[in-house]
Amino acid sequence: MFFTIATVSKSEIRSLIRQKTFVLMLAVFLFMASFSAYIGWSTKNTIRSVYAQTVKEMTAQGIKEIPNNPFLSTPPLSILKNMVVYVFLIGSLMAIIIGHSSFIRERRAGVSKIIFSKSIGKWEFVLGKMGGIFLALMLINVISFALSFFSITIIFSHFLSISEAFNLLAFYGTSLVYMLFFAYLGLFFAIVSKSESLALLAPVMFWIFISFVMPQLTSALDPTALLNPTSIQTPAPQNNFFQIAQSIIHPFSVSESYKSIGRSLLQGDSSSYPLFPLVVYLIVVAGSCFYGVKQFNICEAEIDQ
Amino acid sequence: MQKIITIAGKEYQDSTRNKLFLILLAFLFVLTVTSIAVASSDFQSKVVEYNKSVQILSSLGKSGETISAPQFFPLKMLRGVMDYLEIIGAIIGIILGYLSIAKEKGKNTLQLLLSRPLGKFDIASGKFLGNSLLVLSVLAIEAFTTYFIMWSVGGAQLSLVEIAKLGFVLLASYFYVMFFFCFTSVLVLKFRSLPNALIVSFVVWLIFVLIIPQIGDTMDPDNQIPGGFFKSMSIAKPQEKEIMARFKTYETVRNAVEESSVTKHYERLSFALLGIKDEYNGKSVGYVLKDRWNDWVWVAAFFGIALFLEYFAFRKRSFLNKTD
Repeated sequence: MFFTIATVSKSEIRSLIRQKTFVLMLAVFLFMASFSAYIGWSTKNTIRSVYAQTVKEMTAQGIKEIPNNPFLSTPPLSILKNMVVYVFLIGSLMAIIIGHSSFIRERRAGVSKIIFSKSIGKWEFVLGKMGGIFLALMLINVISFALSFFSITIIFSHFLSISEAFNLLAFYGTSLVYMLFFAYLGLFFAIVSKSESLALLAPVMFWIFISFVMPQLTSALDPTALLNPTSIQTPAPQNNFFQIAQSIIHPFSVSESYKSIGRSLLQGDSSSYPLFPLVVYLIVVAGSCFYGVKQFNICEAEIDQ
Repeated sequence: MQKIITIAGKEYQDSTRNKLFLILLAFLFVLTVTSIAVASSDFQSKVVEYNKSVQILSSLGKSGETISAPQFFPLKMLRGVMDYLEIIGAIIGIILGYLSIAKEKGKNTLQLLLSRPLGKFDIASGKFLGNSLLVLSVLAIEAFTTYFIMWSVGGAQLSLVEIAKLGFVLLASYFYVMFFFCFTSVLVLKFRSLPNALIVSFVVWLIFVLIIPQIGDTMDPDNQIPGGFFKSMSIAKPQEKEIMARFKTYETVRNAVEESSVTKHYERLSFALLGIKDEYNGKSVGYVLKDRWNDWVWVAAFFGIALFLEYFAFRKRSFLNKTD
C-alpha cells in the first residue's frame, strides 16, 4: 500500500514540474517572495526619511511635542510583511491550480478509468495525490523560506537570530497549512465536478468568499482594504448586524486567522486568532476528497470542457 | 450585418443558458446585496455612535457641535460593490471570453462556420457584439438592483447628476469587463490547450486586479500605520504634499506601478465619479471627467488594444489548429 501511494506521489510531482502553467505560477510566486523583501526594505527606508523630513518641518514651525518614530522598533522580519498577502493571494490560487490539475489531468485523458479498473484502491490513489501535492507545496515553502532568509541576510548584512529564524519557519509552516487547504479544495472539485471550467471556478469562488466576503461581514472592511499588510485597528462597527455576523463567522474566518498569525510572526503584532480552525478546515476538505473519490463513477462519460 | 446579428443572438442565448455564467452572476448579485447591507449597517452604527457622543457631551453641559455628524452620500455606499465588480466583473469577462471561443474550438465548429458564407471578421464581430450586449445587460441589472436596494432599504433617492455619474461608471465597467473578455478570447484562440489558456487568463487577472494595485498601496508611506502616518503626526494635507514632493522619484515609481494596471485606472475613475474619494464628493460630472481624463483614456486604451488583438488573432489561420 505504501509503495503505491509513494509511486502516485512521485508521479504527481513529476507531472507538476512538466506543466508550463504550474511553472509560470511558481515563478510568479517565487519572484514575489524575493521581491517582497525588496519592497519592504525600500518602503522602510523611505518612511524613515519621510519621518525625518516631517520632524524637520515640525521643528521649523516651532512645534515641540513631536511623536516618537513609530518605525524604530519594527523587527527585521517586518520587511517581509507583504509575503502574508502574497501567500493569501498568489499562494492560495496556485495551490488551487495544483489541486485542480492533479485530478483533472487524469480525468481529461481518461486515465482515472483505467487506474480504478486496476488493483489500485481509490483511497491509495487519492492519498498518493494528496501526498504529492503536500510534497510539492512543502518544497515551494522551503524554497520561499530560503529566499526570504537570504534576502534579509543580504539586506541587513547579518544572519537572523535563532528566534527570528524560528518565527520565519513558523510563518512558512502556517502558510503551508493554508495553501494545503486550498489545494485539497481544488482537488475535491476536480474529483466531483462534471466540467473542467466549473471545477476550476468553484474553488476560486470559495476562495473569494473566504478571503473577502467573510472578513467584510465581520469587520465592514472593503475587499481592497484587506490587501494592506498593515494591521487595520479600527474597531468593528457595534450594532446587531455585525455582532451576530462576528459571533457566527469570526471563528471560521480562516483568511483573517492566517493573516493575523502571519502578522504576529513577522511583525510582532498580537494575534487573537488560533490556528486550529484552519486545521479543522483542512481535515474536513481532505475527508471530502476521500468521500468524493469513493463516489467517483468510472463508468461516467468523460469530463466536459 | 444580418450575419453578425445572427451570431450575436446565438452568443447571447448560449451564455444565458450556461450554468457557469449563471452561477457567477448569482454570486455577483449576492455580493452586491451583502456589500450594500454591510455599508448601510456600518453607516447606521456611525449615526448611533454620533448620537451617543452628542448625548454625553450635552449631559456634561458641552455643545455637540464640536463633533461632525456623519453625512450620508448614497453613492458612497457602493465602494464594496465596486471592489467586487473589479474582482468578479473581470472573472465574468474571462469566463465569457473563454466560453465564447472554447465551445467552438473544443468541438471544431469554427471550421464548420467558416465553410458557410461567413467571414472570419463576421464571427469575431458577432461574438463581440453578443457578449457586449450581455455584459451591458448584466451591468444594467446590477445598477438597477443597487438603486432598488438603496431606495428600499435606506430610502435613498438619487438626483439626476448622481444617475448620470452612475451611468458613466456603468460605461467604464463595460470597458473594463470587455477588456478581460477580449484578452481571454485572444489567449484561447492562440493556445492549443484550452485549460491552459484559462489558467493563464487567471494569472493575468491575479497580476492586474490584485497584485499590482496591492504593491502600489503598500508602498504608500501613509499606509504604513493604521489610520495613516501623517494623521498620526497631526500633519495637514497641504503640508503632507509638501513633504512628499521631496520624494518625487519614489512616488513616481510607485505611481508607475499602479498605472500599469487597468484595474487601478478603473478604480480611480469610478471612485471619483461615485464620490468615494472625498475631494470629488459634490462635484459636477464634467469636473470629475475632466480631472480624471487620463484614467478614461487608459481604461479605453486597454480595452481598444485587447479588441484590436482579438481581431488580429482571428485574422491568422492558426486559430483553426486542433486543440490538445
